Amino acid sequence: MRGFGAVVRHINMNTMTSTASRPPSRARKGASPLEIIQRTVAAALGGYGLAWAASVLMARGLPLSRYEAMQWAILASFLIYLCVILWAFRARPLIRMWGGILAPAAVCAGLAWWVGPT
Amino acid sequence: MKEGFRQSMSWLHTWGGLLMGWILFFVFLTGTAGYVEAELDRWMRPEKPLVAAEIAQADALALGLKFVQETMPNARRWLVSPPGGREQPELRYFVEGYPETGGAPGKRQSGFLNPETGEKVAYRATGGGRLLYRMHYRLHYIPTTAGEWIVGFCAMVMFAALVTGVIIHARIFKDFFTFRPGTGHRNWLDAHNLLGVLSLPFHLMITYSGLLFICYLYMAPVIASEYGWGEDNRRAFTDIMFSGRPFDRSTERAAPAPSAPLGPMLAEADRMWGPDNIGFVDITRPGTTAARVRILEGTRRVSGDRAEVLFDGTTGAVVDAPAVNPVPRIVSETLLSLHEGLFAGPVLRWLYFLMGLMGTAMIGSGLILWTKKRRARLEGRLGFALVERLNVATVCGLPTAVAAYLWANRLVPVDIAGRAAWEADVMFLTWAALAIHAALRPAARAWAEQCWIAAAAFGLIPLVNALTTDRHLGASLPAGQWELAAVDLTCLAFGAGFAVAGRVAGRRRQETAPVKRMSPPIQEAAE
Repeated sequence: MRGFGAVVRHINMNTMTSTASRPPSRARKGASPLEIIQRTVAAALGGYGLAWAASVLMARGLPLSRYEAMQWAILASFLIYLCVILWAFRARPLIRMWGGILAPAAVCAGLAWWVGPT
Repeated sequence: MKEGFRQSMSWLHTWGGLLMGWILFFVFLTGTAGYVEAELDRWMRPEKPLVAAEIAQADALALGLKFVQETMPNARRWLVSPPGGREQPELRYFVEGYPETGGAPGKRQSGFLNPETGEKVAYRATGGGRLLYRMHYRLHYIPTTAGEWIVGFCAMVMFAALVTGVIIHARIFKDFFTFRPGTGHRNWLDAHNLLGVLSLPFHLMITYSGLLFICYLYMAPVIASEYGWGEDNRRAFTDIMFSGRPFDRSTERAAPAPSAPLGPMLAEADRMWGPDNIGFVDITRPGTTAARVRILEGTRRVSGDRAEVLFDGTTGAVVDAPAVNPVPRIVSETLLSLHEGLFAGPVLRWLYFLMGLMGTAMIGSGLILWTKKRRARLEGRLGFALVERLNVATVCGLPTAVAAYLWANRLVPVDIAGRAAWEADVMFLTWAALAIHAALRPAARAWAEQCWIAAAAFGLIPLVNALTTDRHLGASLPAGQWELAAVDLTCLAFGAGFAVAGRVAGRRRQETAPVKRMSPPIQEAAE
């Protein structure tokens, strides 16, 4: 039974060779197990958090009826989530990736709290 | 940076797709079966007359309403749906009592009635196509909410896999016209791309709208932020989202009052929507001052909403309840109704079915592609073997399990207790058996053998049907009963398809087998 780290390193190796025609990018080379865990957590939980905060802000902030604002917010929430997932695996370095999720989430949550329920 | 971007997206596509692929395959396959739910329901109830009698909706409705009034005179709700069109082949009823003393929910009862006599009909207990449809969003054997969360998680990964698939597919339009059969993993890549690109709008629509359907669970905190937690608050939003109107869920007993006759109300519905075009008649708190009669139109549209009219149950007057239908609701409702495809006629329904199969095949080919690309490097590793065996058990095993579900419908004794559950059990036992088979056999053999098992499982369905019922092709074709015949014929087509796949897989195995047999002596010689 190999350790989790070995499995993840093996996965990384696959990634680099799966697109054999292209040279492995320098950015992927340093992907450690910890980095992959961070990106996955950022995508799953950070994505949900930002989608939640941004949608609540929409639901409260849009100058529409309660139902209309909420329906737009629900429609947008899954698209926001999608964008954050892509960002979580794209942005380098990690600190920028985290900042790109947590900062807007904090701003949206703060504004939504400030606006309050309509 | 550009290469790095595409590569990280490729990583997400590959590993997200692989890890969620098996569940997504299940979701797409059972969801595709959901597009022919009514036809499967029909096929799985062979007790129904071969050709339905022509009955005026008004007569059937009268029988249904009489039945519910006799069954539960003091009901909180009576609902009768007359036969009419594909979506409502039966005269159905539903009754619900007031909550019991002590807070327990009221008794509920539902079933089918003979539209000519108004008596209950006894079809064999079956989950029908409906059960397959339900599995595609809530799985089976686990609590609904748990199933919905798992499917929702997979759907979100699917959503990301679709978008990353487009991003990594740099030459998307050029490759669309590229197919290089017989070139190792390249042909699987081409097939995967072709299947993905050809029906990309369908895949995007189905995934996004699928998430939207269960938004009240996935985005519950968002709804709660404005509407508050709890089911009643949530429904203040979802009632409007799904039907455009708040819904009377009151369980208070109002003062008794005489009921207005239903005849003029039904006549008004006929006047508005044409004859024989009623979806259902829904009476809440009948025989009280709060009684409401809600009548829904039968016709389905792309924009989803069916027209409806609400009457005061004591005076018979129309209650003015304008629908709430602002732009975001139209967007949402259109997405939901595109997902369900209830408006689709025969041609469009076949297209939906085909799109669903293409989505299923896209996921299957993606799973196979993963192993094809890595075989040279990883064969012999435990993880690789696991993926390969799971692929066989899913891509071949699951369709066979669905075929077994249809076999069970014909072969499980009609009077056995818990019969409907047994049908589903047979489906999953078959799947488990095939997973064990895939684990024990060499992978190449497992592919070929399971293709042949699937070919037999589907190809023999018309025969099993002919041996156990008189609703077989010999009866349905002369009678022009295409609903029934289409199920048998589609099973035959699947059988033929799997037989072809079995031949190809068998040939591949023979081509590679001599090399394998030769390799140990060569190895020995080298040592």
